Amino acid sequence: MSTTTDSVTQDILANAFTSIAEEMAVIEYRASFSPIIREMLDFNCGVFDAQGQMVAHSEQIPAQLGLMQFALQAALERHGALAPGDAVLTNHPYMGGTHTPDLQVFAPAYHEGELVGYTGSIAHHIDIGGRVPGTESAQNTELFQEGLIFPAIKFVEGGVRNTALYELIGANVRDPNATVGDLDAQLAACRRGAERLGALCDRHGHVAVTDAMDTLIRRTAERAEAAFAAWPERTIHVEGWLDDGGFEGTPPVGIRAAVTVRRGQDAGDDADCVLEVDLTGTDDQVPAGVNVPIASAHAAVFFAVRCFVGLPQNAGLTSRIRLITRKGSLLDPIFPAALSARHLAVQRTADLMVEALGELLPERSVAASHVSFPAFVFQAVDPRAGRMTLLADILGGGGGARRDAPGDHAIDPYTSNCAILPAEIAELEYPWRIVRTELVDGSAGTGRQPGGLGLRRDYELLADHAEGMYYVEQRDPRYAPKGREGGGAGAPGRAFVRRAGSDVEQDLPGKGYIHLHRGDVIGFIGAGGGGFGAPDGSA
Amino acid sequence: MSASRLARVGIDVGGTFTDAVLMDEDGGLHVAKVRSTPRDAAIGFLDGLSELARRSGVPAQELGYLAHGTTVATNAIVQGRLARAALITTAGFRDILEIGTQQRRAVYDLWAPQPAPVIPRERCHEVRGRLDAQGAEVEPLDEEDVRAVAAQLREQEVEAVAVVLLFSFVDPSHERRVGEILAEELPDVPVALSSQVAPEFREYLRASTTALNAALLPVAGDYVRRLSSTLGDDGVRTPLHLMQSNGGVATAQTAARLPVGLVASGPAAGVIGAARLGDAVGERDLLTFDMGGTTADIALVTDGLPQLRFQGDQGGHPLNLPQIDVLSVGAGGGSIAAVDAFGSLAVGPDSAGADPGPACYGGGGERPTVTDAHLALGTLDPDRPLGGRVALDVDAARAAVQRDVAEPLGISVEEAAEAILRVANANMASALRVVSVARGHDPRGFALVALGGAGPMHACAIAADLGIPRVVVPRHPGVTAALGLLLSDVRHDLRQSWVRRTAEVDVDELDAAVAALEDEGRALLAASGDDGGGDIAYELDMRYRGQAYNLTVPLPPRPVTAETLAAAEAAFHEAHVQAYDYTPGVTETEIVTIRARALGAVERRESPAARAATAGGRRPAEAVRDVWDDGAPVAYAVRERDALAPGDTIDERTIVEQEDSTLVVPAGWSGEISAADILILTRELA
Repeated sequence: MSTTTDSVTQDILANAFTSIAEEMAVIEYRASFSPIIREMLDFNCGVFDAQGQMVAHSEQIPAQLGLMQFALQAALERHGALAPGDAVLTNHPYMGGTHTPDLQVFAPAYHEGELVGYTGSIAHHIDIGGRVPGTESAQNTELFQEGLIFPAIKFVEGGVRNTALYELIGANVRDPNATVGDLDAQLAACRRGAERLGALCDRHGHVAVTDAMDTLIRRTAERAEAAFAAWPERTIHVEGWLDDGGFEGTPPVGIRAAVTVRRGQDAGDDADCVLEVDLTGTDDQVPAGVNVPIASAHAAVFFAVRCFVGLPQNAGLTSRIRLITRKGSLLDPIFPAALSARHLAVQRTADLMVEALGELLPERSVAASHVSFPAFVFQAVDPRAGRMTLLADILGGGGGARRDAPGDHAIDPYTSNCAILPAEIAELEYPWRIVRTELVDGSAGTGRQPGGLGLRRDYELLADHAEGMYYVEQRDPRYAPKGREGGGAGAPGRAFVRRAGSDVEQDLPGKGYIHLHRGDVIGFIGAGGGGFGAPDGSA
Repeated sequence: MSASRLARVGIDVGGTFTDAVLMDEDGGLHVAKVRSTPRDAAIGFLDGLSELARRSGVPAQELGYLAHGTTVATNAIVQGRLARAALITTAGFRDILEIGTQQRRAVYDLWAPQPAPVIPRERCHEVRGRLDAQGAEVEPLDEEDVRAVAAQLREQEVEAVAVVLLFSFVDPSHERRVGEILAEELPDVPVALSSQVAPEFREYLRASTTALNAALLPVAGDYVRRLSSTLGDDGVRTPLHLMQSNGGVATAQTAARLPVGLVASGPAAGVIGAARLGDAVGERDLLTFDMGGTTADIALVTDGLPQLRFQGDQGGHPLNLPQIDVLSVGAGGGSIAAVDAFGSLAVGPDSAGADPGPACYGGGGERPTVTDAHLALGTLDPDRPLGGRVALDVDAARAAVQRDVAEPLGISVEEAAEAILRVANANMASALRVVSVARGHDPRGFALVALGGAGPMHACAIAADLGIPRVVVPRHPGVTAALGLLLSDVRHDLRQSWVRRTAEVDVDELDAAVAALEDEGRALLAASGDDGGGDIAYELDMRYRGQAYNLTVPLPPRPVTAETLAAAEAAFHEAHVQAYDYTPGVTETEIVTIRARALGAVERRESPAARAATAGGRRPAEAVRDVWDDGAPVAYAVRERDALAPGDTIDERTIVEQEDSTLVVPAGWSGEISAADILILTRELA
């Protein structure tokens, strides 16, 4: 009888943990200031056990999922268990963090004096200081150019915010209003989550709640093992490229993965079966901002695996995915290598993993989605109000075709799922005009099922001057989104500028920093998606 | 005879049944339930109307009020029976529906295609002409483009047109001109202008809403017009009103022009009905809980007003329209219980529906459902046909629970059935928490209204879990939507995007913008037959500068002054703390949208009183039945709802049965029938 009760209570509590994470996300989202959070949903919330293992999470952007536990565990290693009323702020890429604009906040949940677990929030802030507006740049060359670094510091102690720290942040970032407002929203979300965990203990008892966390993680691990054990015994090798090493003219950078299910003794001491992803064949790190912090390399792999196993992503699943990386490589760089524009290689890694798992499980194979990821942050003074503005946008491209359906047009793929900025918000709040936002005809990979169409958007500057960084990958047709089983590749991505008074669209390097003047138009194209199967009649 | 003229009727056409309720002059209720006729919903509506006339003796020709809740818009969307519509946009934006927000709906599902837009790419066209964010003309509208597009539309044989130009919410003149030209070129094709359908910023949301409205014009619009004229031909003199998603009714003419406003017609009527019932027993803060066969619909009512949300989604198409915020979760009597290979029990969202139905229906369903669990525990009486129609097979129910839940978990049938209910209740309690706690409301200050055939079976258990002290059970829990219809008001929600920093607002300019909405509201009320007695209330969507998400706060009556604006701003600060627990360091606020709510002055009618409400005092329990409760059989009193009258009391551990619903009153709860024939249950505080 008692085991029954436990089993049902277990299921009820497992759902409750997810509800708490989702409620935290609602608070953070609605109260947020930065357009990257509020319009593009670049944030996540999570619930963790007392050891810092992830128990449950909200569902916004996979790029940040499953790796908050690395940052939390680093913070706990530094401080020990957090006391009631404390909260930690961290963004250190070499202490379990991602890139510096992703601020992570963690707070403990206590019930009647006993630690229950932690709640956490990660959010991409529009700017955290550093060399360039928006902080991120493929052309940063060391971490110290990438803004403020918070090495898991207690920014709230005993319920009191460290106002000196807030003042320091406010003085060092380009949009203090947004940064400080969002940090407060993150803290409010964590506190709400901690309160809910306490309330759960009121109803079910402290022990039942912490037991349920353990059991959820254990059961998910068992499910992951069972899923991997059913996969074929083969090693799949895949390889993909970044167009360059961050600067025009530098050689392409290779990412290589070998994917194998390891069983029995090969799985190690703590597991019966793991999915091994060996990334050691990846090229060396580069002197540019496109390296990938180790936590983000995990996020890319976790995303793809989760697509193929359909399990909740808690510490149970992630403990059964084993990454092997090489220190000094693009996916495991050595401090203080720059890495703020990590997302390009993260998306490429996710793309390779989807390819590898599709090869392992051919009935589920899909063609490649674009990972061109056009994005920028431009700073300009709005002449209407005399205020400095930071415009950021991210463009989608073509999705990969499926065996029985075409690819989607204009999507933000894989580990990202950001919304495009509404043109009317761009024009209301920033000194820009959106000249066009359209699908690119002819950009889809051909196939029995064609890929999705790429996306183009042109921005005209209505202020005297603007400057900022931008990037777009997959400009090199050799690395455009691949087709499968005879399907064609998508058309490549592109960045260009048309200077005021000219009719000529000049191609721009894939990653750069640009100055624009009134009337200039800058445009970006997200690549088309790969096709599936040979086109009818050609097979 | 004069009495019958005041009779009011509400008819709610659902997927399976059409519920019709008539309230006579004395507040007495007559209820009829007929089969819906999905191929032409009007037939079911008219059947319901004549069945009511037969039961009440009041002919339809002599009704004083007639309101209709309809699924015609929802069904057209879900079943893809939309008109062949076209879209006209600002040059450079014709792909707006295809691009959407560029977000995938299922992040981890690489195999599921995105939902197809309402209007395919080949029927999306562009015209040159451009306004800036302040409404200044950057480039004049190219009327030649419009005529050229009109010629293409003629060739494409389109049945409706949506017009969505950038910044039309600031200045609608270009859109209106496009509308005029289309009226000349394509006089028979209905046109929806985004500045009329959804005048707010964010062009994709506005386009999606307008496109859906256009695609519904020839379908739902036509249904409304046709039904209205059939009624007129039959001599029904009172005008037909339709329930809109915002919880107010509109005349047939208005509803036919804005059919997208009908997408949540039925659920909205249910919440309005629950709010009115709560009011009748002095409860104005309510959580409404309507549990049917496949879903449970949950909504929040504060001070008698249902909570609205301003954005929603219908079949993958985002909508920017005020609608009652109803959260629908996949938990109903037909929800299927299953144990996976790892011993985890899940209930729903898969449902056995009405066909094949739960195992106990004997209709071919073999998997155990929530209804089967009730039967196995004895809460449902195996000898009493469900809804008076479906005979229940208790052996089949027990066998299904045994095979699919008890055996895999290694427990008894009764333990398994209790586990199914615990999981289902937890899912629903979690949804109730989302609409209350997550939005800053403490459920302990609310009453739970139990609706639907299954709601009253679960309400007390869920209320106990959430700390809700009172449960309200109407006389007819299954026909609340129809009741809400006959008690509905005319309501129109108007809005205008108006983005300004509060500190920089010119109050006269704001007053002029508010006055323009007021004029529009008065015109709509006048068109509904209101002779000036209606009421208009104003609200502002506000945010801290830089936030994207707004909170809606009241703006005192016109004229707008520095004081009334300051009152709105103060209300915003307070609302922010309530919703999010804190005030950010940044305190500069912005106005985003002006809203006006125009309420018609319908004849205020006291909520339904009991017809034969005289007898009172205790009555002996009619029977006793063993019900499995917390691990052991417990004797429950069984009472007939039809035999209960105002003043009667109900003890704990009682089951109250009626044709279309069963109520479970567990230990710790007791109740009394109010003067309005509504049962109020309260929980003893331990």
